[in-house]
Amino acid sequence: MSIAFPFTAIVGQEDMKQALMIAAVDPGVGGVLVLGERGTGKSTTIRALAAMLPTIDVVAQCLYQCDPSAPRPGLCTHCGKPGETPATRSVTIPVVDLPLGSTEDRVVGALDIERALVNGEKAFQPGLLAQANRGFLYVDEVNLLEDHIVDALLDVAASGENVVEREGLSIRHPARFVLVGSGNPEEGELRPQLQDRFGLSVDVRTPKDVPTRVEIIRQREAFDHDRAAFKKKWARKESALRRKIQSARASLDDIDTPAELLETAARLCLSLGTDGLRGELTLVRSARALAALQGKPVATLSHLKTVATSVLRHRLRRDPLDESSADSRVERAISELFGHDQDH
Amino acid sequence: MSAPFLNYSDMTKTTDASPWADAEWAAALLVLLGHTLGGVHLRAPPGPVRDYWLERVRNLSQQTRLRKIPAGVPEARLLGGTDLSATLQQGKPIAEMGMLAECDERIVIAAMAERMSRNTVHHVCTALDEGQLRIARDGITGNATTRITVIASDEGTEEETLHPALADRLGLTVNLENIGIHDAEDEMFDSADIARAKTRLQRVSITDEHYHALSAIGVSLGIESPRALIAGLKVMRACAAICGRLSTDEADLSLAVRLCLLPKAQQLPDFSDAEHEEPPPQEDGEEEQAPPRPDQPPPEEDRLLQAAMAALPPGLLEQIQTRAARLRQSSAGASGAQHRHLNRGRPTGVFRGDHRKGGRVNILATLRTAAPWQPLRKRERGPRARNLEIRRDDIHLTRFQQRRETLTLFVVDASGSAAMQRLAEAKGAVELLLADCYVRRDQVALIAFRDENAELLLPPTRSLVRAKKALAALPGGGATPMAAALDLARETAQRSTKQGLTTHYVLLTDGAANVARDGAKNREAGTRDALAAARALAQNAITGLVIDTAQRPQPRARELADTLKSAYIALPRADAQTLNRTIRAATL
Repeated sequence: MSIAFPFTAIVGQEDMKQALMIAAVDPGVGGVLVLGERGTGKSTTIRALAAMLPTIDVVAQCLYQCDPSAPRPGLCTHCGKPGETPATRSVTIPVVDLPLGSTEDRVVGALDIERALVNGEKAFQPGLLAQANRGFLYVDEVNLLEDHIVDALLDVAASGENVVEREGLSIRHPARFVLVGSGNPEEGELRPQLQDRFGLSVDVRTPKDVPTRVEIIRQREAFDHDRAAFKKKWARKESALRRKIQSARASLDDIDTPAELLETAARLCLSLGTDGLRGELTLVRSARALAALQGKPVATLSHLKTVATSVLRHRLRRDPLDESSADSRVERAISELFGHDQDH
Repeated sequence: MSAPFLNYSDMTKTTDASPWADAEWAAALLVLLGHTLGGVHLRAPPGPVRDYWLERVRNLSQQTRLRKIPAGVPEARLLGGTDLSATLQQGKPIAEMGMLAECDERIVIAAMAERMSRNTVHHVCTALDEGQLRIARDGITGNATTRITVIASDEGTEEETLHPALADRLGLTVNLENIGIHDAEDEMFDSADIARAKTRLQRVSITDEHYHALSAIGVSLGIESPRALIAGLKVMRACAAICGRLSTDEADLSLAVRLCLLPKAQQLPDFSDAEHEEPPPQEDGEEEQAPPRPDQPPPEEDRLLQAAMAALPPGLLEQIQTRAARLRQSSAGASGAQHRHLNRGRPTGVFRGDHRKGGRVNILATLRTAAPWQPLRKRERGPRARNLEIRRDDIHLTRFQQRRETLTLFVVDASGSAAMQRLAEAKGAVELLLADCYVRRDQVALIAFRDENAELLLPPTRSLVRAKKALAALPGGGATPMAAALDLARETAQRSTKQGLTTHYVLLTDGAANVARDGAKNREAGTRDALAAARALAQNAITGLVIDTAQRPQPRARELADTLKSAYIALPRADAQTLNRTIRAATL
């Protein structure tokens, strides 16, 4: 693998970094959609995330990174069998690339042909969805993804389970992953069903002031010049952030959620007319994850406000006659709700 | 020509004297910097000049030949997959290397790059960004190293240009359009120069002033993506190294601006008028949060930029200017053209499916899937086995467009006679319709006409973002050049029909034509020409709808609709919602 640009060395783009970190702390927020023009560092940032992810324990022999401490019914057929505690090993949370042009057999998995030929046995060769279980699945230019692959993704993302019926195989295995997609909105819209799958959505743009741009190109030059040295230079910051994410994951369950926060989330969604409950749930989860990241014991309204735009901007019903952008509509709703609030 | 250009004054002389020198420089830089630079966007018609330049690159790089990636290369060939014949022969899956992997560490030509499919563009971009590709297809999963250097040869006309995502990743732009074969001069560099420069390259330092100047010039040219700046830095370094210096100077900066920045300019600063200039292009639509010009380049950068512009080959500056002006009008520039490639009425992919439910079997993909299984299946079947054992699971179908997509072409009268209010309603209707369209993956385009001419404000698109930008910029008032509008509608519709789209138009007007085809403002001639244009449109069997937006409907719009053989609806008091419903009912 080539060396990726360090996450902590990325200049600016705080929204995008925050959204990805929230998803790293709580995969339950349900994916991150990154939209922006060319050259905003979308893929660089997302690819950099892999190095920031802590390790997880998995069942040693399992093809799907099953969680040894999880209740059995949620695991693959092999790990789900009652029996003694299996051996475990520790792996970094996987970030799996789903490249455009992938064929369905490699995405969902298929019969392992080598083993079928050599040993005459019917074995399943897991696909990208299996590799991504408990991790991240990244689709660059997600708005160009082929429809039948999107269908497969939607199906699995909804159920958390991948069911393969082909070539005489009948396999089901857990496939819960954080879907991360990036794309340029000028190249076409995302299918609404797919857009709904994303918990957070961020808009990225290129910074336009000269000093920031100088910093960006200097960093990039230094990186291109000697990747290993550059990585080393940032190693301390990288491991500090990794630890922060790790401890946030550990403390997530203990974060307090005041009733006031739940109520505000509900009122915010109501006033914006977002469909369904997903917006509310994601708001609260993201606020909690952010509190955990900051090492706070309680999720506050300020956390809620910080994540609100990312959580809600892609959930607004389209009103083409309203000239204002989704972002300003969310901001307006927040300021109406909070008035001049005291929280900051 | 021994030890060329260790003396830098020689270099500037040559650069000033001939545009060929810049092309020659680009060839040397391309070979020296290779993959780290991405490549070259080569704008040139086919001909001896282009051949000669490519020959120069080949010579300098000492490659035996430059491989070509054809524009229509199938994805399986580009990325690799199952090698059909080897798999059948050996009875086990054999992977075939894709073209991008085969070209690792080499310079490749992307021929007719402006016609590349969107997926090919994506794969080449990933190869350039990552230096490797992840392959997950036809039973094969893995990484392929793809440190390629791309010469994207673009014969593009106004209509079609290289996809902006790829153009952004190519560090250099070479324009040979205005160079004749007699302008192509002696060789300035040889491979020994390149080799020498390579040893110096890493030691060249760039001053803070030059970092700053380059960034500031980028801002004043309206270049958003930092990739052009990063390429500029590399070019500065390389230029100094080739000239035998260890620190960059103004000549290096000037070259970087000419080869990397100016060709990507979205705007050209106006130095003549200190009082100041038109606002920057409406790049980010409504979310203009910063003051219009956050960073006025200080005089020093102005001077450097002016110097670089002065050194441009004649004619090039005008081209940049026209392009920047066009970009201002339709901010997304060329991406309309690329959209069409996505959905040209042709096969769009292959998928595993049941042929009994209809659809055309893709023999090659089916064979490829079946090939590795042959020994196993023959063993299973024993003596009754056929030469080729194909199972239902193998069957792959070619996906054509699920159904013919529709393009709804709005032709909006923005003249004074169609009141401003109607214009606002038309805008609203377009947006509403588009919001519906993108669910069905249909497309929308917009022609506006007023004053002198008609203009395709929004090329066929599905993007709400782009549509909003185009609509926001739509001004009103002036005369009614109906004939020009109908002519443009016909051309647009013909083009999209050719691409497999079913096209309907929706004409919103009060029917009061008063500008003739030759531009004369005359009601009679205007009406006569409008009816002639209407007949031409009707002859093309393109269906449509005329919406009479006059406060008091009059027979002239009716007459126009009859000539167009289209439906006619008078909607004197419709709001956007009603318009939208009517249009949908009439066209879908």
